[in-house]
Amino acid sequence: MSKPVIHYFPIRGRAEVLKLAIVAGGGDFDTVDVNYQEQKTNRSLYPFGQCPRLVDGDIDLVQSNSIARYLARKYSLQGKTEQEQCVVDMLMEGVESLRVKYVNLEEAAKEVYWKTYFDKSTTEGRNGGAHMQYLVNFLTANGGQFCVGDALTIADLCLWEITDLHLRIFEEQLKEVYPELIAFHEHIAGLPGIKEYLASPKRLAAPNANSLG
Amino acid sequence: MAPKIVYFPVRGRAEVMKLAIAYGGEDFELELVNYEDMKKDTDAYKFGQCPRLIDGDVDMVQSNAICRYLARKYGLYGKSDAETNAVDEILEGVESLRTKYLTLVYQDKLADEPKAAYWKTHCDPESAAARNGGAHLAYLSRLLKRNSAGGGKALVGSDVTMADLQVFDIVDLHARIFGDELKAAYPDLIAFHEHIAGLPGIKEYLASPKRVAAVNGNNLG
Repeated sequence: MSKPVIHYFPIRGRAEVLKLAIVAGGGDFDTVDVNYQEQKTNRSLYPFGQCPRLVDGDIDLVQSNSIARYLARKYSLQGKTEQEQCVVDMLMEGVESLRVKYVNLEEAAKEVYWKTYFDKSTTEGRNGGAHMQYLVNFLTANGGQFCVGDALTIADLCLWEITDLHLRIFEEQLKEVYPELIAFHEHIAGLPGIKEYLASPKRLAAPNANSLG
Repeated sequence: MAPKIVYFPVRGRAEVMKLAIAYGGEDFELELVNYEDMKKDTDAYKFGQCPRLIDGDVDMVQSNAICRYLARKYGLYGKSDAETNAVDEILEGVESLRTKYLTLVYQDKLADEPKAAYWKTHCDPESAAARNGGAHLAYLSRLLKRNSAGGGKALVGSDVTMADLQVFDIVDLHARIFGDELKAAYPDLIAFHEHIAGLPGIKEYLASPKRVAAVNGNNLG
């Protein structure tokens, strides 16, 4: 199998789930710092003026969730049946809804953010489909180790990563309110490939581009 | 049994699924969502939202997840791994634009000033290299042109895919707001829109009472 090359900024950001998928699948990757000028003007390589971009043999594509789906097929992380694939896709969309809220979070709004998207009493409120409880429901209904079926899928990696980002901001509250999510986070972090990656220099220090988070 | 869509009586986020089912040669049933259920029953409405699709054993939510399910069901997901990638890319690109469109309609109420700013940022061919969050009609137009196999009639490969239905719908929504400007700036997207509207299944659906009149939930658009 070819070795994927990720073109991106030197942060975790929207490339992190892709890196996790590759190492969980037993693969390795290279990273290249994106050329911003090229990203903005070269429509053949960057059809939407954005990165990450993945180059993997004949494959050259953008849109992080499209890349995640490609890697899921490559490493058999997309679910084993039609039903499982549907659930994986639902979870990916649900995590994306929360991620959009996360990237817009401001320090001053942390309390309201927690209340709207994490507090167990607000799941029936207006949240644009973004609430941690919705995601945890899938996990607990499926036994707590994986979100879908009896093996790792890309949905687990999406949930792991969004949990990881929130642990950096809301560690105490998360531990208290969502212990099942903490256990899941530890379980995934210990899986072969992922464990070694997380301890390696390839796991970049910066989660976001503005030194926050 | 025909697939059942549970939703509000608008086109909204259910429209592309209806197009897919119609093009796939099936009929669908429409059930109005019970708002109370939607907010409380997280088994059926896993994210407190709709549309929800029920099709045999499948009972799911999240419009783009439903679109991918229907794409697999009706063979609208590309004929190779590379084509599937390209379909997924375009679904994400349309979603980026749809998010901006929904803000224009629901938050900005289609007022003149935000409407002009929207055109400038997300539609004006001159501004495609500026900051737009990956949301710009020029990106979609370029992908249509780039696909030589499609000859302006398909975004991926030579056959209809879910990407075409998504682009049809987002062009349709923009044509209602920016009719003349859109025609002048993107004749390729207008021609593509006409082509898709004439496809078997879609043509009949668009002319039928099943094509509901309301585009959004607030009478705008």
